Amino acid sequence: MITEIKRFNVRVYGLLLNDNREILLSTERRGDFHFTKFPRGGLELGEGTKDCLMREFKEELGIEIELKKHFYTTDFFQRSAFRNEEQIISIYYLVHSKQLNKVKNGMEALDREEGNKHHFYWKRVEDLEQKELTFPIDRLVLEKLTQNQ
Amino acid sequence: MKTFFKDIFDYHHQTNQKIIQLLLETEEQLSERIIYLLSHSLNAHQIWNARIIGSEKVGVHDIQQLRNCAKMDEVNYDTTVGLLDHYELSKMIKYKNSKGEEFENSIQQVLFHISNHFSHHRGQIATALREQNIQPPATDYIFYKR
Repeated sequence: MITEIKRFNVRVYGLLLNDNREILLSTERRGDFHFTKFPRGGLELGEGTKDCLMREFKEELGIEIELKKHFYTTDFFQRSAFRNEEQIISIYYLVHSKQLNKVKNGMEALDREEGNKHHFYWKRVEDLEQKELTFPIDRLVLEKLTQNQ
Repeated sequence: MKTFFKDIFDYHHQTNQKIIQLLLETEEQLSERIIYLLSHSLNAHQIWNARIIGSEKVGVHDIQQLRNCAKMDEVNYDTTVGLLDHYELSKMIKYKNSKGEEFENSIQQVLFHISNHFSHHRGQIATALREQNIQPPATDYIFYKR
């Protein structure tokens, strides 16, 4: 039985690169349940995509970011892996920060929940493989990033 | 409902840990059947978690080393709590049984099944322990809530 889609779930992603062509990744683990993705926020009602992303980087990493330019928005249908009734819309921005020195390799998320291991790390775009990313849309974005070089 | 399942799995985790601790203390007197029953219940939890999140599965009849069981139960418990935070309970999971037949059940049905499965096999472990003259601990849910 195929469940009818009833809602959109809008996710806003920030592609943050440093001077060494390293990109910031977010990894969460609880038991065997883990995923690696680009840093993102879930868009809340009454919020703009820009504010959503700035809020997320502030909450999780404690840094201010600037949105440089829009990079990609999903142009195909993607059902949520977690919720049957939701269609995912993912919006990616290239972002920049003047506080990159505050983002240490392997740092823990500032707002992590108890029992959940949530870390950030840098990886060179060239060395990042699609299979390291959990979600299909992130993999597609990695492909576009690689082509863009 | 998610809070309910977190509580239920917290109960199973604490109770399993209590049983494993007792088994470690009485290891020399234990029958193979007791180790099999414990292994099987932990394997089943691991397999159902893996069916939901799409990770690697152990074999349902694998025999686990007793000294690894506390850790395995902890990882299983953490995995279930982690997936509860992300998946909706009505999501349908497609899976194959050990004979290769395909089935589909909701995450809620799966979690309820794991819970019943633990209670069933802990009952068998308790009986097997009494046969070896070892007093099993009180494992009723309502004792855990008191």
